[in-house]
This record gives sequence, structure tokens and C-alpha cells, in this order.
Amino acid sequence: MTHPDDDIDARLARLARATERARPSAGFTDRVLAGIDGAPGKDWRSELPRVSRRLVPVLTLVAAGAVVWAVHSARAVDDALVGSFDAMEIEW
Amino acid sequence: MSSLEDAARRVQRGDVSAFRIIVEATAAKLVRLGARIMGSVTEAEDVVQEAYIKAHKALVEGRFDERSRVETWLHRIVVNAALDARRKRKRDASEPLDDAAIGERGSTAEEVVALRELAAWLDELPDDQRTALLLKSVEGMSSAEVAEVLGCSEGAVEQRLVRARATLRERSTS
Repeated sequence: MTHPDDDIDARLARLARATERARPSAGFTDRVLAGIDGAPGKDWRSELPRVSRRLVPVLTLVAAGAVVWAVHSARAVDDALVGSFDAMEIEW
Repeated sequence: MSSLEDAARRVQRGDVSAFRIIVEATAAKLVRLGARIMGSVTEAEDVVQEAYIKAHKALVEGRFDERSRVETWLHRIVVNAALDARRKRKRDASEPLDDAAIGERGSTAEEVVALRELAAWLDELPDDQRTALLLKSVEGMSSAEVAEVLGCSEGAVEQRLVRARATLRERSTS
């Protein structure tokens, strides 16, 4: 007695063999690449995400540098103010 | 790293010519898969071409996250594109799979008949069951590979296969 799945498997195997050699026609790769070249959306807006991703690390470094510089400058201003107040007290 | 993964990285870095490597390495398999879903090499070529355009755009825009292999990812795109095209074909009842559509570029008569038989036989199965059965029993993928392409668990794949076989058995006895 054969299992009903045997028929299904046999048919699937036969159809797999019969369609094994299905191939794209000649020049398919060139048509695909031509289609990509002609695809809409290859303007600056489509490039934006890729460019942005590359800019993120650079901009992060610039931002970190700006914060360090700002803190440093604030301290320098504070020191200068403290110095000038001290001088005023001594003069007074 | 495989040559496909390497080519994908080159495309991501803006090397347009690297996409040719990907197409040349995968076109035969993907068009055959598309033809087995669509029942026609000609229609499969259109579907796979659209899939490549989508894949290229995704690579250039950095939407390929490298969580799966390039080949698996492309299989997934082609399966989805082919299923969409089938649904569209069903909606537009004016476009049945006729002899003109499968009067194929470079296919033998036997292939044309077999592709048509396969598509017609599996036509009544729901999309998820049909694709699971095709990928596993016709394409010869492992359950793990099918699960990766379909984005589900291996258990879900097995369940779909059981259901698909049950439906086909039922139909053959009725």
C-alpha cells in the first residue's frame, strides 16, 4: 500500500526535475542593470541616507569637541571674573 | 565573507558595478524560483528584475541590515514580489496565464507545460503553504533555510507543509 503523500512527493519531484533547467533568457543581466540605471529616485534625495550615515560619526566628534570647548571657555570666563572681583576687593 | 556579501558591501559603498556580480551569481536560481511560483519564465523575469531594482535601492540606501545572507534576502524579495504579482494577476482577471504569456523566451515545451502544471496544481493553496512547499520540496531547501526566507520559525514551516499536503491529498481524493 502506498502512502498518499508518496503521490504528492513523486509529483513534486517530477515537476522539480522538469523545471530544473528553467533559466533567464540571454541578456537578462544587462536588462536588469539597465533597469537599475533607469530606475527613478537616483537623485540627491536617494543618496541622502547613505551620506548621512557616513556623516554621523564625524558630526558626533564635532559635537563632542564643541561641548569640551564650551566647558573650557566657560571655566576661563569664570576664572577671569573671579580674578577681576578679587582685584576689585583688594583695590576697595 | 562570501563573494556575494563582499559585493553587497561594495554596492553599499557606491560601487555600482559590484551589483553585476550579485545578479550574475543569483539570476538563474531566482528566475527559476520565480517561474515556479508564477508558472512562466517570462513573467518571472519581470518579477525578478523588479526585485533586483528593489534590492539595489535597499543596498544603496543602507536598508540591508546583514542579518541574513544576501542570497536568502534576495530569495525573500523575489518570493514576496512573485506573490504580489500573482495576486495582481488574479485581481486583473483579464490577464490569465495564457499561451502567449508562456510562449517563453528560451524555454522548452516540456518546461512550459511543467511550469504551468506546477502553478495550476498549487494554485488553490494559500500563499504561505504554497511557498513553503515550493521552497522545501521543489527548490530543495532545508526547513531552516525556508524559515529564514519566509521569516518564520521552523515549526511554522513544518506546520505549513503538513497543511499543504493535507489540502493536496484532500483535493486529489475528492
